[in-house]
Amino acid sequence: MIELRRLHRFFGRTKAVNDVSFEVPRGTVFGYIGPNGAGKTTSMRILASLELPTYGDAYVDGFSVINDPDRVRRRLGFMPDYFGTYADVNVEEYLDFFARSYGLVGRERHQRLQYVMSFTGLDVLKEKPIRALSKGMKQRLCLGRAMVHDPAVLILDEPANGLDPRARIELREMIRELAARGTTVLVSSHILTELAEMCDRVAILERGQLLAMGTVAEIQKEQQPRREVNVGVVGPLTPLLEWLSSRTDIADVKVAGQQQVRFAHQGEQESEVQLLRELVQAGFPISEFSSHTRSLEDVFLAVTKGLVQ
Amino acid sequence: MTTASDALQSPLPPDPAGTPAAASVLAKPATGTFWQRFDTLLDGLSDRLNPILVKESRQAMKSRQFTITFTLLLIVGWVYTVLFVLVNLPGVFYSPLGRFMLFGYYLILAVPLLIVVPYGAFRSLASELEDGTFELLSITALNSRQIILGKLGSSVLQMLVYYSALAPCIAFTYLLRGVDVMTIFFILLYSFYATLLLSVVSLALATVTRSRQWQVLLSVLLVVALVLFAFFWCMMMSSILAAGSMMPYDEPEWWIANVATFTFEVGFVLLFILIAAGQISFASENRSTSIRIMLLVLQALIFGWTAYTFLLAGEEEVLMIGSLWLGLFWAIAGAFLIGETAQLSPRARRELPQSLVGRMAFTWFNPGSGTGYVFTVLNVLGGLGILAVVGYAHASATAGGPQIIQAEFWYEFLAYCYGVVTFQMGLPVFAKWTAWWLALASYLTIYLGLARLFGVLLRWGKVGGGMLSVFVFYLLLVVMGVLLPFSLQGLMQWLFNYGFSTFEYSPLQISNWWWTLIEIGMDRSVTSDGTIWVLIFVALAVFVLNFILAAKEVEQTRLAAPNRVLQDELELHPPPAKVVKRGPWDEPPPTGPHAEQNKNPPTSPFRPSPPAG
Repeated sequence: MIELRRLHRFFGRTKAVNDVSFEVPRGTVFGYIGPNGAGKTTSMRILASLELPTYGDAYVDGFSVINDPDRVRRRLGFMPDYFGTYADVNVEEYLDFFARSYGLVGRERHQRLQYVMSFTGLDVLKEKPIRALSKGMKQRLCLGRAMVHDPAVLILDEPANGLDPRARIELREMIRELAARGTTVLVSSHILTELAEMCDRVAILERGQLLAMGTVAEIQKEQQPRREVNVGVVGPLTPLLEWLSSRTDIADVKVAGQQQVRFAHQGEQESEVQLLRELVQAGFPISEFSSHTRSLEDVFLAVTKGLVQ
Repeated sequence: MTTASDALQSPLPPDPAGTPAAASVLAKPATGTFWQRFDTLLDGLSDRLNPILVKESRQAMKSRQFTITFTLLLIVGWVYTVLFVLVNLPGVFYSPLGRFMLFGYYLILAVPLLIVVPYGAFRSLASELEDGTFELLSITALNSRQIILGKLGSSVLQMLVYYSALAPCIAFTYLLRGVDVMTIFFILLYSFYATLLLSVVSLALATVTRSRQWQVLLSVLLVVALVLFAFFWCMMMSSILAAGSMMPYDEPEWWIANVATFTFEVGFVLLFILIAAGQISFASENRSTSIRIMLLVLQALIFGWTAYTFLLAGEEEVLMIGSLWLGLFWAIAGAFLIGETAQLSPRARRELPQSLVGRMAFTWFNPGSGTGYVFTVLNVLGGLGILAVVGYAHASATAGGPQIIQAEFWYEFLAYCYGVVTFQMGLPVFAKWTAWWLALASYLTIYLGLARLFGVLLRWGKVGGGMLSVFVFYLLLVVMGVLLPFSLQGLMQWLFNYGFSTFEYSPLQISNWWWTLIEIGMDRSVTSDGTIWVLIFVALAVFVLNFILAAKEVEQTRLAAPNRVLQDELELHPPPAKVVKRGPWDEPPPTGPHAEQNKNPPTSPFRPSPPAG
């Protein structure tokens, strides 16, 4: 549904987007992660046909954003990181204007407006002037505007920025619901835990370059091929240390406390279960067994170097 | 009370798109009371309007600026009416004072019409560009022309509201006598023209920059320009009002002049709409071709009306003024065309002419500085050539010759050719008007060509070469072409103590287009001393050089649209079903929304089943 092919965008000497390629299939929520200045917004703006790439191309439903922006725009809803609202207009008038601008007429327009307002929870505020809306409600309004023409692709740039926890949860639900209905969503956010819960796949960018891409689990595995395991025993540690050191799937065995050992174990969760079983069978009095997986935040910190341009 | 989050917690409504329920609702006719049906009808009508116009009207009617202007207009109009009547009592009952009162109303109306409405149009688009709402607008299904037309439509609507506010007062002036209906109509019509043109120019100005600082500067300059324009416009209108009943309504020339004004108004409004739309359209769009077509239309209007006026009046000065207008028109238009970049996106290349003849004729409409230059020069030569032919034809006809273009022209032409080829006759002497047109065309070819070469050089060195830099260089060149030789000659006169009593035209002034054209107009020695020949040869050299450098732009060929685009096009615009009618007795195949349904009627207990087999 979305495809970036060797996308480049330079601003003078700054390489805002530097050779980024990926594909997002239909009905997927794709997370775009990166520090400030990583090139997320630039590549999203290129996808929304608001900017031209320096080299490369981006495609939405097979249409080039350079050569067929009009066809791309019919299939795409874009929610930028700013509100872009008008003065002296209320919620319904605002959405109505965009519905008309996307060519919706008559009953179809009314029905779509009703649906969007209901979906975003704005139907109770339809007469309210936009300037009187809270930030969370404005975010909803912007989401409503982006989806008013029922686009196949939604691009959301920092949609949860500045929202309270409840509003974030609600927004997350809305995005999942849209994806369940077949909409492809490309979403960027700084709130990584949220992206981890929301996205089917993520891409990590830094200084315009794609550093990692895949499902959160895939990236975690890629960044951390060995899981860190803590084992607590009752009694002396030496036999346990010897036993662990003799195994080929275990490395970096360290004493972590008075009765604890920490080591890196290569394998999946099943092999951890097998390891625990073998430890017990070997007669070690195990008091604790835990493994640690890196969160998306840890992965993000491991992958990125905090470089800015 | 239901809150927004409560609404969210409730089950989400089904997507209306594609559900059978939606289809049934769509098919249902409007029901309800008369007013509900009337509202539905109006809503349906509003679907046919430009969405920007609908939004802007909603905004404008709620905006403080509109409320204040409208209220002030009403109050000032009312106060002026009372004061005028009181001051002119008792003469108001018997003197024809309508004209004076109308002028007062006109001044009151001029402020919103000539200042507020155009400035409002400027701010409307500028604020969209500044606040980022334009980006949201640009990714909708609206194209850039619709956006500009919507903004312009909103200006027209506001204009009409202001007109209607003072309509009763203006009607009152007619009742006071002293002014006829036609004068009132034409005064209001000319104001309409002026406001429309000012609004569209303001919209085009708003697209020049997106930077807030430059927008502020532009706003200030625009307000100053609008105030000055309003002042001079009102002075002009006062002279029309002073003429009063002496306006020659019964003379056909007056009506012809009005038709000409109307055509120019429409032409220039369309040109500025295209310019503004081009400025805000996506970078891969072809922004140039439609503008060039409009320039061609305007050129046709200029030489068409000039030729008509000349044939009507028979005064050669008309041709001179017409050719000056034409020269000025292309001097300005060409300055922008030679600054265009020649990059044609694959999208733009899909619509290039394909056949040899098509490419020869229409390549010059493609974007690019080279094609722009050739387009300008060809138009200058074509326009001035037509005016020259008209001039000679008229001169020959009035001389009593039987042919349209008579001996003088052909003799002169052949003599030049002979002289050039054999070098036996020396330099022929040009007739005044031939020299005038040749000099004008040569100057335009040279100055535009040099500026374009400068742009090519900049682009080659990758140090700019955009429209602005080429335009600035061109402006400098044109100004320096006058000032430099003028100063040089002045300096020499001063250095060699010749004094300034003999400060006359010399060959040093050949780059001074201003002085040279005046000299030709005065029919002085310039026409015979070889100046024109030098200009022609230099112009030819500059043109040839530019033409060679434009080769790459000419090489561009059409690209086929990708399959995905063709497939989408087919989905959007399916070809009409082929109607196969085998004989006159066959019924035409069913059409309309229920055609499919009628073709395969659903089985029903009330319908007899078709016989088996």
